Amino acid sequence: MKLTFPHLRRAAAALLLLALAGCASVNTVEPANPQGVANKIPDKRIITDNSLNDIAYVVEVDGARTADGLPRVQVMLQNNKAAVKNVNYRFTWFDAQRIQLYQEPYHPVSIEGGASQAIQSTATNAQAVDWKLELSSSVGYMPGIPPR
Amino acid sequence: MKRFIHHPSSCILFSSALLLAGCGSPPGNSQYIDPNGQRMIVDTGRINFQDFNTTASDLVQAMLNANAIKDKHPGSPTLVLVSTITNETDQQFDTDQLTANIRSSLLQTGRIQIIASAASGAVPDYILAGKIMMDKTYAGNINQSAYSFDIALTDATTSAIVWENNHQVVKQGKGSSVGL
Repeated sequence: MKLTFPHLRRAAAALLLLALAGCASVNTVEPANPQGVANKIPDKRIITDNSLNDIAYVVEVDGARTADGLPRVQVMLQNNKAAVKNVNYRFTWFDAQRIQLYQEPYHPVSIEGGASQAIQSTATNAQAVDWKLELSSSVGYMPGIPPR
Repeated sequence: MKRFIHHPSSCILFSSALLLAGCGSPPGNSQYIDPNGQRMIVDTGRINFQDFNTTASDLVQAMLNANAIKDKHPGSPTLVLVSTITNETDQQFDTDQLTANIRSSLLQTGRIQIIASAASGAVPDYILAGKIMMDKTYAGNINQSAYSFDIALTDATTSAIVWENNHQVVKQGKGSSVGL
């Protein structure tokens, strides 16, 4: 069968319908004047993947401590797309000399379309003072088939 | 170039090449991969190595956030016995993969000592124990496996459960794949 532009247009329309079928964005409600006060942390970002930055945009970074004094961090992610998206993240903790203490395993997180999602980490090492967050697109692929 | 753009087959070939030119390469021959990375094999139907890693990490952090383990002996470490985590799933795996990770993370805090076993003679301040359960379901050719890690911390003096957490891992798919 010879492929023509009408065929391609129909294929593109079908693909668009398939893509739109996965869209289900979220409406949210929260207090206009929250009682809690966040301890916002200024952050430095290195963006190498703009599409990932769109589906897991870092809205806010907050810091806190456990009752035992261990540092905690919370990062609020926002999915600016209409469809649910999966991303992976991991935190790495460093000591006062900026030496890496340990690296957490990657965690998967799903963020609904238009929704925000908090991800957190608590240092399990008393020497931890600094952290780094890595965000990554989901890389799942079948063996023998090249990754996306 | 104009001829190329107006030729539908060329467009499809070009688009396919762009799609296939992903980042990194698929595994061919054997290779080492990062055990904390994203390219571990994921089985829908069973618990994988990385599931134990993420579960242990999340459970210990939840315990620390809740300040569940109090300083029982000011100036000296609190004694914790990481007891049995029973496998109540229909799969065979060694739950030591989970308990070893929990012990290691708790020790890192610097204020907890782990008691090797109840038979050691040392009296623990807290006992950590739990069980792993599973639920399988499917819709069409999509399988879903839900694993529930139910862990409780008991004060050994009062026998009161002072902290409990139910960590869940849910996977959906047609079979195995590589990567999260």
